[in-house]
Amino acid sequence: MTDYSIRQAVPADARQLLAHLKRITAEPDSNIALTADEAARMSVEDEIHWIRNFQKTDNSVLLVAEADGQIVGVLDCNGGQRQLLRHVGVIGIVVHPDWRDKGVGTALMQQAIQWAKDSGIIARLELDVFAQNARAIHVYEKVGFAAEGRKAHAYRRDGQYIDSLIMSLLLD
Amino acid sequence: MLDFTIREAVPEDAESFLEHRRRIVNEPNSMIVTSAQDRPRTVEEQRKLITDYLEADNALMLVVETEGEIIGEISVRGGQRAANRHVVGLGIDVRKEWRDQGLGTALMRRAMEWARATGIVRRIELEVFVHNTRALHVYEKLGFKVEGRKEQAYYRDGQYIDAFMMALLLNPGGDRSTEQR
Repeated sequence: MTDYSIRQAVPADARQLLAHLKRITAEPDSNIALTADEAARMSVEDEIHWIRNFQKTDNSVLLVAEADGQIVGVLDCNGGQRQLLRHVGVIGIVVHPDWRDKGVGTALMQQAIQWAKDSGIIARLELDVFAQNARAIHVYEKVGFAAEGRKAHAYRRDGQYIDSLIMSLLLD
Repeated sequence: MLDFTIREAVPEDAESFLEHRRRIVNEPNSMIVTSAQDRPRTVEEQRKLITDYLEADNALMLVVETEGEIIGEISVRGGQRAANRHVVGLGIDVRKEWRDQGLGTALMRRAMEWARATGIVRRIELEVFVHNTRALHVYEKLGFKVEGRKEQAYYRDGQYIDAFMMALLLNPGGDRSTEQR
């Protein structure tokens, strides 16, 4: 039950990835900046297009953690398109609620860091996390990320502002 | 005294806007994120972009002109999701020959006035190269605060460039003071 593997996503994962996103955004107090309504409007075709874009670029990657054929975690790392930003990969990560505190997030992050080092392009990994998301911040710090700043009122939900931390890991 | 006009960009500006940008990106040691190596937008893409700005309720593109020529611009664009519709990212440039005459400050003030008037925008954010002291000074003068320093945020000519993250928070009441948590 705690056995999972990590691989790069392929277009055939689109349906499952979308279901994963819809489930996560429907959680009360979810830690991602997308509402359930917004997720509901996304189509499998959008998702296929999204996955293909990762396959086409040399400085971006989309990783999935899979257990028994089910996707239990997703990590996307988007490299900058401008010349001055091609070395920066911006990470987003979402783990299924049943699979939290089992090392899936850490494993995805470690795999992404390895991928970034191997890319020969990425020299800075960056992410943005709700300041209140202590569990995620702990994972990011554990794999070497450090906070560089705090964005006040970066997000808003249900009439409340949420600050976020900008964290990064420099690779050499 | 320099005679200039600030106005909203319209689709017909696309060509002269791109000509202005071409000059900006080719300035030595430019302070902007776009470089001469990036593929420039086509006139059609620029026209579409200006139209998108005109149609969005949380985006604004202004140009500053003198004698019919665009010499600077400011673009502020809000998030597209419910969670970040209140946040606009800001980009600004003024051509070298026209600096230190208050154009940047004037563009910033106009954009800030617009942001307050939208009733939507609550946070204006930007990034600036840490060595761009002139710009930093303008932003601070207008009430922006440094929220952090991104290391190796940009890379140009074999060198990394750090950037300050800056932001201005707007009160829901629309008054001039900024709120701090």
